[in-house]
Amino acid sequence: MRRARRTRALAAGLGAVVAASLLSATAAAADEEAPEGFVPGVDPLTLDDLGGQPSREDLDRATTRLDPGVATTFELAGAVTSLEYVEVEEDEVVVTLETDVLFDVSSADLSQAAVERVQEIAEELPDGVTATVAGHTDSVGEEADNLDLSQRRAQAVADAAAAVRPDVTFDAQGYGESQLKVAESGDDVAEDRAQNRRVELRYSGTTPGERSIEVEEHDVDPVTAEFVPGDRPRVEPVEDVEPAVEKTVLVPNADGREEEVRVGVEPIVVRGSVMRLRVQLTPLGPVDGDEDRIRVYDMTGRGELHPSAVDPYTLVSYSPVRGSGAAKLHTDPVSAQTSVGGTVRYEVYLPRPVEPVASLYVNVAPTWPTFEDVPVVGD
Amino acid sequence: MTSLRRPRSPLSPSRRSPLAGRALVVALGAASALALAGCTGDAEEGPTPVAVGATEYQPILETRQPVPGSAEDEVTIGLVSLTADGSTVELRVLLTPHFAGDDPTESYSVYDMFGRDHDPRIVDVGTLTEYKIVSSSGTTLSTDPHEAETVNGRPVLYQAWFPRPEGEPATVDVRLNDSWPALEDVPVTWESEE
Repeated sequence: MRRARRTRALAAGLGAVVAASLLSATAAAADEEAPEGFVPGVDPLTLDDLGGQPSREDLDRATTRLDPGVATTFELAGAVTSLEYVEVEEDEVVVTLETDVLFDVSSADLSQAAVERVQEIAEELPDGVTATVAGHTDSVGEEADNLDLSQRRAQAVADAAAAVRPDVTFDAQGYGESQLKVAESGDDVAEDRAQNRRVELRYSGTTPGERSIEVEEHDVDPVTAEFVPGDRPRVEPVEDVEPAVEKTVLVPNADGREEEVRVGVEPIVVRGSVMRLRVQLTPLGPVDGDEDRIRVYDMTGRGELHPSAVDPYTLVSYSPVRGSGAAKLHTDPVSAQTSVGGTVRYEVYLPRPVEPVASLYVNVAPTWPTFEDVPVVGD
Repeated sequence: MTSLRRPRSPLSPSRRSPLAGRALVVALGAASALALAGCTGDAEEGPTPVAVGATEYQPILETRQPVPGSAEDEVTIGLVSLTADGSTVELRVLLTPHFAGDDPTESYSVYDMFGRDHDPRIVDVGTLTEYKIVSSSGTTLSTDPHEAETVNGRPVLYQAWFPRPEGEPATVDVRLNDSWPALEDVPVTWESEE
């Protein structure tokens, strides 16, 4: 403590002395003389200067252990293959498909992976049945727009399914936001909305009179792997890394402001039991009136940042690894900031893929389009 | 479950950018420097020794980054060492301000260079453990970011103490500031245990 007290005592008086001393010295002069007394940032500190070795409690408070066990699957095995889950009620089977992994935001165009998956489900249908395809949205946006979108999405799923099952009659119907599966409120509103954005495929296929309801959703055991660090330290400035997928999007806000942000997703890098997802954000103009100190938090709608990666072929979703107190291993979106035209990187760690993949889909904010086919590479 | 066809990887090895531009090298001695130059095709030499006061430091990694939130101000970050001794690991970094403005007498604090933020962390990717600066009896075990200051072009030494990583990992990642890229695979020098 001796030197710490001395530091505080000297700090005010030494300000001018330090500045003068620094200015009088030549740059990078290795042989310059140290200023008299202790100078913060010039004279090295020791732990003794700061009060000595910390206690075990102090050390534990500064340590966060993170859990990779957040790989969640929406895939089910069973009589009927499902993208998310299957409900069987009396003789009726309902297969619910989460549309976030099927469609882009506000789009009714199925990706190729989604077409393949829908057709795989369709191949399991009983011969000659009539199936209804019901489209649903969340409550965000105009009701009429949601109704139209849900109809087009239901039709897209029906068309894809019908292509491989000409013997089955598919009846597509959109319901917009009129039949929310869960109420959209509270801290998990983003998750609630994701559940509501769905397409339900309904058909009769079980023994009449049988009554059961099955809702199956299970976690996938995370895959662990030894982390092998590189043979040297490294830093990758954001301007040196080319994004794999880039899009210009609007900052989510409820005020009707149209502020554009360029968003680029870098190739995902697998490191041991986790994979590193990096998103570059460049404000193309002021955000909420600010030209500098624009935070990642501001650009992602102040609470709408929900990064995840999805394998569209197995429908395994990867969320950020979490520690105690729901701490994530990520860039703090409130602290990371840039200015108009500058680029800041948001980085987050997800569990490593449970099986080798060449690419994944990446979601950043619910109202932004999916960043498809982001390459996955080893470290 | 039926296996679906997967696309071939669209990523060619050349897609990932080499360290270039502001990123300078990494030199853990001549052998490492040579190895890096070979890896990147970059002819740049490693960081040169930097004097702060009477002490000369040899950074092992150097990068120049914008001051967080600023369009004009920049700071050169020189990673010197990460040394575990007793129950803590000590980080040493050199920070050199390059702020806009013509007044050569104006001084800038470490806090200014960090973009008025101060929350460095180290991460052991192998054990998925993050370590923050230790606070002991109300004292943050680091250089006081407000008191340590310097003028444009003059480096200042920043030190911080974190809990000693369990298992003695060979390397950790250093996250100095959320607006800056992480310094990855930073070697830890292991001294005596607590």
